[in-house]
Order: sequence, then C-alpha cells, then structure tokens
Amino acid sequence: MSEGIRWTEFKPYEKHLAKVLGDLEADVLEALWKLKVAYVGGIHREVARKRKVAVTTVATVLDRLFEKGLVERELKRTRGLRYEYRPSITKVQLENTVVKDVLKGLFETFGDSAISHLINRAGIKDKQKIKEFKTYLQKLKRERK
Amino acid sequence: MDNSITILLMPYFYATLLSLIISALVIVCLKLVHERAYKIRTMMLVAPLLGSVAIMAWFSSLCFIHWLSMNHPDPYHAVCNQVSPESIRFICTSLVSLAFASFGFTVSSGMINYYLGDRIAIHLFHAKPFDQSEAKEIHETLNRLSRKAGVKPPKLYLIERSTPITFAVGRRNAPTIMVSVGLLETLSSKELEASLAHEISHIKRNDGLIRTLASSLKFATPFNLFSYLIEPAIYREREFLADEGSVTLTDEPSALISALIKISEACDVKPNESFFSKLAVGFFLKSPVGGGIFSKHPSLEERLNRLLQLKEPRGRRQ
Repeated sequence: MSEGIRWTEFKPYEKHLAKVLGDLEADVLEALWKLKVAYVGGIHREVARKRKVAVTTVATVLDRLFEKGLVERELKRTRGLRYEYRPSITKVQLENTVVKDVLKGLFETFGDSAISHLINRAGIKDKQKIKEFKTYLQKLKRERK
Repeated sequence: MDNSITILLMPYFYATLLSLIISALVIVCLKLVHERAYKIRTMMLVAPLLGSVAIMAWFSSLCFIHWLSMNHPDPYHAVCNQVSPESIRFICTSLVSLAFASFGFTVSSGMINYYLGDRIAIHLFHAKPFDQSEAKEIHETLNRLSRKAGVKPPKLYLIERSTPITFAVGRRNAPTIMVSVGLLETLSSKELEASLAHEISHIKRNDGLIRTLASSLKFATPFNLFSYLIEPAIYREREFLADEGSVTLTDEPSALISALIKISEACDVKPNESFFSKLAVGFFLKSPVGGGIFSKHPSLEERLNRLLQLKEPRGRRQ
C-alpha cells in the first residue's frame, strides 16, 4: 500500500471512488476536492446538494478520511475552535495510487493470469510490449523477494 | 469424585439459583416502579448483584475455612463429612483460588477505572487540556452549570477528532469532561450547553462510581446470568437521569433533543478502524443510540420520548 494513504478494501462492482472508499466518504472527498479548503459546515452544504446527510455524519466521515490519510486538518481558533480541512492528495494521485496498488496485488497473487488478461484486454499484439510487461512482472517478483 | 463434586457444589447451585430467581423477580418488579423513580430503581437493580456477591462470599469463606483446617467442625461440615478429604482439598483449593482471582480482578479493575479512568481516557484519546483563553465561552458555561449543580467545576480536555464526542470521567471530587473538536464545530451553543449539562449531571449523581460498581459486581458474579441484563439496565437508568438533570440545569429540553439527534446521526457511520480507536470507543463511548436489553444506552426514541414529556407543561404530564 502506498505510504501515507490507507485504503483497505477494493470493491470491483462499485462505481467510481466507491470502489475503494465508502459511499459517503467518496462524496465528502469529492466535495473537498471541489472546495479545496473548507470547514465542516461548507463541506456539509456541498454534500447536502447531492444527498440528505447530517453535519455530524459528515464530521465523522472526515475523521475516517483523516485516518486514511486522504484529508489534512488544521485546528483554527478564529470564531471558536474548529478544523479547517483540505484534501491531502488530488483525485489523479488517488487514482494512480489505487491502480498501482491493485495491479501490484494482482501481479503478486495471480502473476501470469493477470498479465495475460491485461495483454488480451488491452489488445496488445506487439511482441516488444508483451516483453516489457513480462519484464515488469519479473521486477515485481524480485521486489517481493 | 463426581459424586463428591455434586455434594460439595449442591449448596452453591441452590444459592446461585436463589440469586437468579431474586434477580428475575427484581427485573419483573421494576416494571411496577414509576419510570422516574430513579433512586429506587437503581437500588433495586444493585441489590441482586450485591446479594449474588454475598452468596459467593459466603460459599467461598466456607470453602476457605475447610481449606485452612480440614478437621474442625463448621456449618458446612455435615455435608463435607460425606466426601473424601482429598476431594474437599481439591475442590476448595480450586474454588478459593477462583474466588480470590475474581475478587482481585474485580477490585483492581474497579479501582483502576474509578481512580485512573480520567488519565487512561486522556492517554487513549491524546486529549489536551483546554486552554481557557481559546474557548472562554465554553469555560464560562461549564462554570455556570457546575455552580448551579453544586459540583466542583470539571477539568476540560480537548479530543482532536472530528467526530462529535463528549463524556465525563473521574471521581465526583476530581471530575473531567472531554469534548472533541467535532462536537464544538457541529453543535450550536445551546446544544453544547445541554450536552455539558448532561455530563455534569452524571458527575453530580456520582455515576462514575455507580457504573464502576455495577460493572465490578457483574464481573464478581459471572454465574448470575441476569447480571448481564442488570448492569446495562443500571447504565440506562443513569442516562435517563442525566438527561433529566440536564433539563433541570438548562431548562432547555429541545436543545438536548436536538443535540442527541445530531450526535446519534454521527453514529450512523461505522467506527474507525484503528485498534486504539476501537479500544477507546469501546471503553468510553457507549453509543448514544443504543437500545435493547443488553445496551448500556437507552434507544434514542426512548430518550426523546421522555424528554418530550418533560417539555410538556407539568399539568399535562401523565
């Protein structure tokens, strides 16, 4: 798993970010990516446009996202004590991390099956490309040892 | 040997049966007592637990007497004459060891919980003392409520978490209240005041001690299966009482209703994954949206119903 980011499950039949996050977690993170920096009230308003949700539920979800390393927070002392939230990675960075971790896991566990499926799926005919894939697999195996 | 065990354990079996019957009767009789007679209800619930402990102590001390001097007569001697000394020695040694281990565990865990509960909570949640200058309003509210309740103003600690959390720990003369950043940022000042008043009511009624006592007595009487129902029932009674105490202090049942709904909505999310989070939540945060006979918190619906009754003018209450 990539350093600092802790997603714990991959659900292949879910859509979008819900594959690696909870449904609500995905919505909260999407809202934060849109807002860039926000307090819980602002994030709640953004999420509430899409679904009916309580502000305390959003706060609890933010706790989980923080523990997963996806959100940063800073304690602010203006207008009472409250957190200012910001995403700790961009959407593209998260997608890259997930793809990297999932592929690594597949290659480690299912080696040849995973690579032949990927080659078929991508429709790769070029022998040089196939060789590159195989070299990548060998490299992964060496890393594991 | 089997026969010896049966003869020796028979009185204990009857004693346990007796404590089970008493506990069951208490649970049934509780339905007849008014739901707001909290003091009587708590005493009724604690009594069978204490009775079970007394029965355990009685039997263990008899065994202990046998263990010390096998040849001297004692109230239990007539029964023990029928079994071989080796069997008595074996059974008494096992039972006395069990009783001592249970007693030792109960007393030590109870004392640790009561005297060090606040420090454990501070450590588990990485809580920090609340600087008075950065949250003057909450300190003022807390001091005002404490004066009104006639308790020592509690120390305030801040938990750096977004989840709305608040709970009281420690003894009545050295109380501590923990609040999370999430609670401060999601509750209105009225709701926050009602939540703090709820915690101060726990402190005023020494619920830390009562809850520790209930849990310790449950551990001390593992064979009384009803203790697993009685202990959470005691917790639930104290929650209702703290809710009512909060309304007495603030005169704002609607603020507490609103705060309870908000906090319960935070509990819709699954608990956090990390071991310490689970441990901390398990120890200190009995979910406010409980319900059921094994739950240490009453259901939200039950709490709201009682608060709504308080909200009605006195003449209209049933």
